[in-house]
Amino acid sequence: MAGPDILIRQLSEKLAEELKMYRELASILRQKQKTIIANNLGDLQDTMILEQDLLEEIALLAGVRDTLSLDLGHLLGLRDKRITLTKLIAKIDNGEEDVLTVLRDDMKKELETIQQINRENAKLLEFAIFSIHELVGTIMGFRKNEAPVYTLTGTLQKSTAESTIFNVKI
Amino acid sequence: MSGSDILNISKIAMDNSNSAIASTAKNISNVNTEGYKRRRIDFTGYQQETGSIGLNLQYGEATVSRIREQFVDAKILQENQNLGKYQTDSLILPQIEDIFGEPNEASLNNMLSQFWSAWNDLAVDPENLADRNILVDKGQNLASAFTRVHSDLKSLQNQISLDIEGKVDEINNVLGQLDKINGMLRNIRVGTHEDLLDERDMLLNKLTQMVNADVTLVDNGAVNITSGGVVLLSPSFKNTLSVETDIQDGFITSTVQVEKGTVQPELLKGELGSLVQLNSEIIPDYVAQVDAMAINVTQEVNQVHRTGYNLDGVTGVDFFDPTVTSAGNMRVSQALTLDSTLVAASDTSGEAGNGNLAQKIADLKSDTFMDGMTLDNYYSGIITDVGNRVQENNFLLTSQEKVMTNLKNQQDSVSGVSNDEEMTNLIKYQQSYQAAARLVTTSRDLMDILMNMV
Repeated sequence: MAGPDILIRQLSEKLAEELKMYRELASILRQKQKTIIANNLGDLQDTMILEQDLLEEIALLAGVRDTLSLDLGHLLGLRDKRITLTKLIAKIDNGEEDVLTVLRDDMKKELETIQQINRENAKLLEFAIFSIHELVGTIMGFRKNEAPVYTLTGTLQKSTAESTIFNVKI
Repeated sequence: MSGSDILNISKIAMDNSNSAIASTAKNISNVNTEGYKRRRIDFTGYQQETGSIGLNLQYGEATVSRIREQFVDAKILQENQNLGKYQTDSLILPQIEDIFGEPNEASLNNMLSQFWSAWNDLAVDPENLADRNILVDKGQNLASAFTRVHSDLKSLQNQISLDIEGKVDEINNVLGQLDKINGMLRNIRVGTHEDLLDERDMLLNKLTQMVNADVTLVDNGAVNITSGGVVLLSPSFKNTLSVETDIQDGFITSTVQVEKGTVQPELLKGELGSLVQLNSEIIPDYVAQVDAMAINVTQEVNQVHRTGYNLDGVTGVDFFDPTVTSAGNMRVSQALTLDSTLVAASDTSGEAGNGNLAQKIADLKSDTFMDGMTLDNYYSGIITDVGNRVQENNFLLTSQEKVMTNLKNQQDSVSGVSNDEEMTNLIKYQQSYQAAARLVTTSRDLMDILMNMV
């Protein structure tokens, strides 16, 4: 296993790489929000593919970072099963802790932004799905009313499609 | 996310009336609205800004467009003009046919036939008073038939004059509405005026059915309209149609003019075109022919009758009143209606039993005094012409209705709302959003894990 200084440098590099990906993800999510609001399915699909690819890369990189953090934690005498950046920074005193602190804070800020956009997008999607559900119900209402109406045995009356969008309780 | 952020997002989503879902909703709610054209959203450069306080979203250029096929729309406007004409013709031409009422007991043809037959009967027994009375009756019946046809044609022509005034009012009203729309379209941003364009198209459909009109689209959906070589409407100009009437012998002839300009529009198509042609050409032409028949019969019969001798040996008497000027005032001479012995049947003085003159008059049936034709043939020509017009118009109307049905079907296939299609769109949206929602959940879980590692 490499020494603490090398591991700290490697960790810094991975964190910088990860931060770059978070920023890219935030940008994609903002773009996705626009497409949801505009109901632009073509663009939505494209941004979702980009998002999914990036999430896979982030998960992979986070795994590498986790291994590095565990190794560094052991070298620095941390015995916890879950090693966080904050815990590592607290143990480092060779001057590199400042760099790691800046990276951690920036990452935290980006992650919070991503979580915020995700919450907004979830709300927008919830609203869109609800609207569609109601519209589908309306069309089905038309269909129902278009069916022949039987009032008496053997009597067939012409259908009267009177249901409108305004009859539906939204 | 704060409560105000959530409210802001919901508001933005709901306010986004130009969104595809809103378009779909509008399409569905207008599935049975006449003239409604299916909406589609165009996405071009909308903006989003995340400010320090909450979320600020703006939609700049997302525009809604109406799905339409311009060629079909233009063709419909063109064909509407023929349809309007044929429909109006189909209402009025059969009325002319009914006025002549052939074949019928009281028709002019039957009355003529009975009139000539009565002269034949008198030629066989010139001193028979019963035959003389019958002849005078038949003469009166013939004159009444001419008068009735003349009077009924006059009523129809005058009624059409009133219809022309009503139609011109209707056209002016539509032009006024289109003028307002032209004005409104000047001040509205493209992509937000679809309802106005639907209304404009409905009015254009109505207008072109009423009058021949060339429609040109100019900036922002406003229209230029010319009719028969005269400008009726442009974004900066509006003309008004007016009616001028001329009354001759109780017949009202109407001429359509424009208030601004000296050129009279040439109205050939549309409901107004039909009415104007019927009022100023077709009916007056039939009236003239019927009048010519009445005047010629009067003159020819009188001319021969005056040379004959009645039972009292008197000569120079007219059978029909010679003051006749049209079919409308044709009648048997009053003296003969009071005393049928005054009818001249003999061509020789002092020979009361001589029926030669009566026979001469009966023979007028075969005389070609109507523009080289016998009276029967001339009249048959009128009846055939009316019948042909009715038949030809029925054929044209049926064909035109088929043309219009095809065009409307084509228009509906492009512009009409199909619930199946809207449903398919919605399901597509639904599936896409559900997939997006799943990805949000995945992303959220991953971010939670990553946050725990910080």
